[in-house]
Amino acid sequence: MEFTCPKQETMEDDVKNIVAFVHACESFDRQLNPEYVSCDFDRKEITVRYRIAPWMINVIGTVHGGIYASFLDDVMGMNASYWAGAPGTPTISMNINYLRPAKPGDSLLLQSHLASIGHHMIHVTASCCRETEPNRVLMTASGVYHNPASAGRKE
Amino acid sequence: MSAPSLPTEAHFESALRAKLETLKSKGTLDSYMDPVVAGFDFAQKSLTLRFVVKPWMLNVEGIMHGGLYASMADCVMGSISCFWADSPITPTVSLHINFMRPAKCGDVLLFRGKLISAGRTMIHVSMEAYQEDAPEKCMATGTGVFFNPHVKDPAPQR
Repeated sequence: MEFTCPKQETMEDDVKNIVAFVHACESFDRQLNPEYVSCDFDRKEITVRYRIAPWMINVIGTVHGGIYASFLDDVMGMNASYWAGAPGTPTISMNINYLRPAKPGDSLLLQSHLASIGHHMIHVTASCCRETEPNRVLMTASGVYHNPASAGRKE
Repeated sequence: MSAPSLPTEAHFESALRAKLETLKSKGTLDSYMDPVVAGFDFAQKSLTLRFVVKPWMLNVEGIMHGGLYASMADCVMGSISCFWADSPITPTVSLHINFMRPAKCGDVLLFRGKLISAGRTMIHVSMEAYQEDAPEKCMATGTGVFFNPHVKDPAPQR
C-alpha cells in the first residue's frame, strides 16, 4: 500500500485505500465492517461508519463494551496510519468514556481527529454518535499509537 | 437506595462461575472469546480468566486486535464488578488499557482482574494480562470504572 502526497483530494483516496485494505484481509478488522464516510485534511479528521451486528450484542441485550473499544481503536488506528504515512501503527494505550449506549441495529459514525504526531508517537482522539443523532455523543476516546515510519506526513 | 450486601466467600466460586456461564450465552462476543476461570482469590478480591488467541481475533498485521484486548479486559473487570455489586449488569463507564506486548495466534493469555473499590454507585477495577507460559512478561494493564444500577438478580444466589 503506497501513500501519496497529502492534500484533501489525495487524503480521500488514501483513506479509502486504507478501508479497502482492511476489507481485503481476513481479520477481525474486516468483521467490524468499516465504511468510509468522509475526511477533512485541514481538520485532520476521518469519519467511518460501523453497523451494530447481532454478534456484537452481549447477554443482556446491549452492545458489548469491547465492541465499542474495537470500533474506536479501529478508526483511531486508521487515522494514525494515514498520518504516519505507513500501515501498521500498533496501539500503545487507549482510554474510552462510555456516555450513552447504542442499540442493536444502530448505524454509528465514528470520527477521529489527529492531535499530534511525533517521531515515535501519534496521539489521536475519537468520538461516536448515531448516524441519525449526530449531536448526541455516545462515546469519546483518546489513543496513543506507535509511529513505525519516523518521517510521517507533514501536518 | 440501600447499600449492596457484601458477598461471602462461601459462594464466591460458584457465583463467579455462574455469572461467567451466563455471560457466555450462545451467539455473544463473550461466548466467542470463550473465557475460562483460571483462578480466583476472595481475600484479594481477584479473578483470573484464561483466553486463547484464535485466528478470527487477529488484525491486519497478524496480531490480536487492540479492541479484543479491551474486550477481554472488559469481560474480566465486568465480571468482578457484577459480582461485587451483586447485580446482573454493571455498565462500563470508562476503560483505560495500556498495551505492552502483542499477542499472536495460539497464545494463551491470563487476564487477572482485581477490585479496587466498590462504592454506592461506582465500582473501580484494575487488571493485568500475562502469557500463561511467560508470566514475567506483562502483555497489557488497565483500569475500568463500572456503574452499579442496583438491579437485583431475578435468581439471587444468597
